Amino acid sequence: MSLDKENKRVSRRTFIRTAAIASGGLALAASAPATRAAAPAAPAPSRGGTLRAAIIGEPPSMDPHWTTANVTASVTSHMTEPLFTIDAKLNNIPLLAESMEISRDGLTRTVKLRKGIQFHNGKEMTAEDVIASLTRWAKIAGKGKVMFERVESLTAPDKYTVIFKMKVPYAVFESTLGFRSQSAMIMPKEVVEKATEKRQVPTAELIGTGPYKFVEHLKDRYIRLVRNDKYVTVGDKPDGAGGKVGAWFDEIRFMPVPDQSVRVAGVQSGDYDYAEGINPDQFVLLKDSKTVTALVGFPSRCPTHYINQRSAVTKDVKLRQAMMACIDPEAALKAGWGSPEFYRVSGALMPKEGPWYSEVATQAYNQKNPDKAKALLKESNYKGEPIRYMATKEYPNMYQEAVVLNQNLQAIGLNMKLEVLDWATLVSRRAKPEEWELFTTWNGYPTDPALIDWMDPLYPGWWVNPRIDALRGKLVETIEPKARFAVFEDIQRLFYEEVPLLKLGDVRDLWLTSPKLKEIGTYPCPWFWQAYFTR
Amino acid sequence: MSTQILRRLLTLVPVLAVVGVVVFVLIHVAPGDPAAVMAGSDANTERIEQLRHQMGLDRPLLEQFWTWVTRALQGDLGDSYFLVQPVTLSLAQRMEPTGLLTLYALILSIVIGLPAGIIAALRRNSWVDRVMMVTALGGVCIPSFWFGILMILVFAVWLRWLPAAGYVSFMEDPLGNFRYLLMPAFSLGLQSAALLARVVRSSMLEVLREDYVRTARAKGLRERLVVVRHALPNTLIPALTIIGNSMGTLLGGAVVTEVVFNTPGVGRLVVQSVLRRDFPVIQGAILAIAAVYVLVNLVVDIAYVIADPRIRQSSR
Repeated sequence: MSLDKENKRVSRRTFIRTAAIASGGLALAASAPATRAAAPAAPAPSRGGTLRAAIIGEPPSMDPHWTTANVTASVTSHMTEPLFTIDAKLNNIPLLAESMEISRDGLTRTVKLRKGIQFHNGKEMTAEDVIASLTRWAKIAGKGKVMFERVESLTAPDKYTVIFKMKVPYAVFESTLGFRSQSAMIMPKEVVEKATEKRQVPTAELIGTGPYKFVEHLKDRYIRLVRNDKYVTVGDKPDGAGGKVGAWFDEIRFMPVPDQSVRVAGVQSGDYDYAEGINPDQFVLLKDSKTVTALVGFPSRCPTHYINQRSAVTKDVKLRQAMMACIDPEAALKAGWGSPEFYRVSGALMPKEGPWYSEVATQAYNQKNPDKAKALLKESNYKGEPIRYMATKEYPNMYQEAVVLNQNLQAIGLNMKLEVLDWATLVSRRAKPEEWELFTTWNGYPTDPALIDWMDPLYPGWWVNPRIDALRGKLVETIEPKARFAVFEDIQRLFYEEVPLLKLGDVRDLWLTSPKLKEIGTYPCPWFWQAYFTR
Repeated sequence: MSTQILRRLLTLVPVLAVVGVVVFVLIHVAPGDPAAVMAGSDANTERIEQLRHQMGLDRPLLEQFWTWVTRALQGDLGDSYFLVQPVTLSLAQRMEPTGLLTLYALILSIVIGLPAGIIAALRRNSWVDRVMMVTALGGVCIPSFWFGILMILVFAVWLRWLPAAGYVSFMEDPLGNFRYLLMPAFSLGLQSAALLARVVRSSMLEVLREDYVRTARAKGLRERLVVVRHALPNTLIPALTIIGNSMGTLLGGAVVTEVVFNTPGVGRLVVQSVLRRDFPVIQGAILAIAAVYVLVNLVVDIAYVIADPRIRQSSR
């Protein structure tokens, strides 16, 4: 956002335009969040019905501040809302905020709140609720902590205004406050102050401003929400996760169904209207079905295999470069994702569809060069120590990728020890630097590269050194878009020089819905406030 | 009799103590951290440490054990990390689906297995006997989860007669409850029915060769009366053993069936709790299941006494 002019007030329209550049949102061409395998023209929406959504399991917590789990974000984003959200082109737009004013030096951000917004308990949302919620969120969420380290003060001059005084300009302000994992959701002051950062907000007290409100949570059976009839929408048409909200369903039931085959059978039998977490190998069986619709998302995430830089073995940069030189990302993607409809071979650290795409330094990706790898290995201090590679069969894609990469790495003479663990063991062991060298996971593409997991120096793998730390700081504190892009390209260069992890490519997700269900949102997590049934 | 029951009930104490200690040690020795699961896959190490501290997981193991034991002795099994409710309440909420599922499966296995065994014995070596015994052999061999998936495909996906998965409470809708539990009960009860049919058949064949059966026939009793009044009661003892054992097997098998049919019972709770390392729930659920096993065995033993006068005599 340009700050070289006088103080300026940003209206919603200008905000969208400028925020798109400043945040560098993934300006995706596709306005629909997911592409349909067979897309009939959708008839006009009509009100009514109960949506039965089969989700991958019981959320680990129903408190949106508490966990980074997608399933929590997906359920709670129907009840609670943040200050900012994203439009169809994934630019930041205001949601509970009405507008934002930025001072000439970029250090003061004055956020005006929308008036007359009611919480589900009937209380009006005001600045004190925003301050209390954000203060709690900043003590819990990693991204909140990073942001609030740069906040000097947060004050409310009146009921509908919040002023952030920053220590430094903060380029990812709206992206961070609108981020949909462990989100900065606004809840009533009494609720968050009672819970504090030490306790989860009890589900019965989960009160927000969202288009649906909480009714009942029967554990392992369903989470029941009903339409919030007092919801005040903005705009005159839907726009991504923002804009005019339809809230067409009378009721939404999120039903935890941990077994994938049950989710698939449930949509086929008409017991569920929606199922998520479907393995792409099911696509060939389901794409021509008349009883279900298979939805393929856009490339919203990337499989990643992290390398431990606190391990005495893999802290050696030559060894990591050797790993990058020898692996065959395409073979690993094919093994994990099967059909090319679900994966794309790409070394860029952000997807092609957005403004952050750059091919700089990507010649180091997809080299498939065992000879070069062996030469690099000779230059390293590697003496045949075991390399513990943690994988899990709970996510078959990740496991199959790991099997291929493990073979690649073995072939150049690395003493690989592939350890197949359950996910709970993997996530607990990866937090202990003495217990592993490599582990498999995936990372979602946020709207801004500053919010990717590996940009967090405390994320397992621990990519920490003066060079990347300086670039991290620069990326969040540089406001001018071109300069930010240049910083990001420097990061991508450094990424391929230091190889903190093996990034394989871009992948797409698969969802199943009943053919009568239209317009579900799938990015950054599934949502249904624009979805409806055709009659 | 009542002294015996009391004595058996007292054995619950050492059983539960041993189970409690073993389960506590096992789940804490096994790797896996509930805080890391709760924090979510994108959480950094600082957040996981913060949660571990808040959940008390960073305290010494002995201290955690002592806290758990002293609370458990007062009937408080602690609170679930993930369900944010007392473990006792979590278990109580899941007793209905598991209890009803086991009951339906048991009824089905008796209704199918008992007559099938009797008919097969009476028509020994006929085609009826062979068909029934081959079917029973198949029933014993087919894993219940596979049979369950097959039933979902046929009755839910193709025919759409029954719901594929899920549950409604008996209190809310008794008929709906039966519809949801019919396929799981069949898939669970099939194995027990098959086993029961085979045992009843062989036991019946033995009994039919006894002198008192010959006497009954000789004095001109009708065959139906011979079977129902003289032969059947004497085949019941081995059948009771099988039914009693089946209760245990059914409760254990309910774990798999509940996962396949997404039934929110104790079995699925245990599986989910193991996957997310919800220590208090795992401990509580295993204790509860152990107690149920002991009690079921006790009930079977009492049933023996009622069914067989000889045991009644000797127990005096």
